Amino acid sequence: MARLDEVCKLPGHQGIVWNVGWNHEGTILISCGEDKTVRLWARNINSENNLWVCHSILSDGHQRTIRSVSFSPCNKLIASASFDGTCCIWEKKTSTEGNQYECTATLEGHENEVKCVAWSASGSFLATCSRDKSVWIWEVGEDGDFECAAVLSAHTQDVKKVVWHPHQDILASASYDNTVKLFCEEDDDWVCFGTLKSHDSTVWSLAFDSSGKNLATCSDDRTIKIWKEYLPGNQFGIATSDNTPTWKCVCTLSAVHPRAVYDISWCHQTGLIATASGDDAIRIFRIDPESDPHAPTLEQLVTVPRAHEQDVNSVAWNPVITGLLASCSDDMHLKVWQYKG
Amino acid sequence: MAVTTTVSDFDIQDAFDSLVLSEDNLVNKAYEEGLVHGEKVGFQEGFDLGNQKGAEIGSEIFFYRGFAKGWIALLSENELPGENNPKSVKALKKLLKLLDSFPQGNPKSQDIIALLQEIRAKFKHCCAILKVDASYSAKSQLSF
Repeated sequence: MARLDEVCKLPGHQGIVWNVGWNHEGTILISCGEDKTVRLWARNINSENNLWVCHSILSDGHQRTIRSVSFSPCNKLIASASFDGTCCIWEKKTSTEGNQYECTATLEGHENEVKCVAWSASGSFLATCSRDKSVWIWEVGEDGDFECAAVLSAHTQDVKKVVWHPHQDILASASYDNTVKLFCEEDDDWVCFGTLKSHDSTVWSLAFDSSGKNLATCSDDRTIKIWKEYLPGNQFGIATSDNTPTWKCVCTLSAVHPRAVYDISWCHQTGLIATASGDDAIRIFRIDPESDPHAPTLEQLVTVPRAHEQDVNSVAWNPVITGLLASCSDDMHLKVWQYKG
Repeated sequence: MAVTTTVSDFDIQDAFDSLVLSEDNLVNKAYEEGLVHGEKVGFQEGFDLGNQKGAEIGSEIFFYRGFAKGWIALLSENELPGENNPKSVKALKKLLKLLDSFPQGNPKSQDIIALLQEIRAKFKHCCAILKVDASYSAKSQLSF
């Protein structure tokens, strides 16, 4: 019987904790929230029970709530997105007093609340999205400066989340207009090459699997969906246009989440899918290996009904340590979980 | 003789009909008149609205056009080897191309709102590259 055991509960944030993530080595847990701070947590090697403790607090970068935070693939930079309309880049400086993060750049341009920030897998791009309905792509220069590469106004409403493809420079964005849009670079310009329509309400979050050929989305309509990429000229008879791949919804899971699903994380090691929901629960799924890959079924493995005392806002699988999951909530806490299959 | 003809043409049934239907006839007549008047007034109102909106959009488009032309001129004037910024010029030229593609009329087949949004996004992109804080505001228009 699969289990999700609580490893530890981490207090510290003064207010809602909005987002959690890991560095790419899986050694540092990162969080941000309403208290305008970014916190870094690491495993306390001196303690016997391997607890995670806060070792750095990044403050004074933003004027308002920090909604999203992300480590660069090189692990040296952290990007944070705030409701003050800016995005801060924090750089690790090694001094005699130890490692310190300093805000080295502020990206301005959005008209209002920035909802999410994400680094591309190659590290050469940064994407941000905002309530102003636009998605911005920034090119990361060698000398550490950021130049705006594109302003994309494909969505008709608030854009909630941006996520990069795990191997290519392809960006996916989720919006209050109930759609997901896909962007790629074409002749020096970024263009929208796909719109994924099927959800009946706000798409809160999305996650690619390790291959980048499947995408999971979660929504305010209480469902999660799996989308599959079909390349031009595929043998399955799925039509494509303009020589671009078609993304087709191949699975919808409804009647499982009684409330909105705010976040979804697809583990690139185990293939497990974790969801964070407005009913305070965390759920773990996997694609039934026996099911048809073109019409997969999701198998629910674990439900932790009262994972947090209030809405769970974000979940993230550790990229290295198998089965380690982080979550955060309106209840001002982070939690670390261990999955045992 | 003519009188008798008229009298013989007179049908008491018609008289009754016209009495009974007088309300309907008046309503129909008033409806027709109202329709003509409404069309005229409605056309004027629509024309005024279209005129106003068209002027607003035109003003915005030409603000961007002036911005793009001005910056392109400025950047090519100071173009020194190794100092030019092809990225900004490229973005500005793209903006200019979009502006040129904006229709002068009101074609039903083209989504001009989407095109306007694309133009606004490109303008923001140009501002971000040039590191200038410019924005179009209808309030800055001259009034006479």
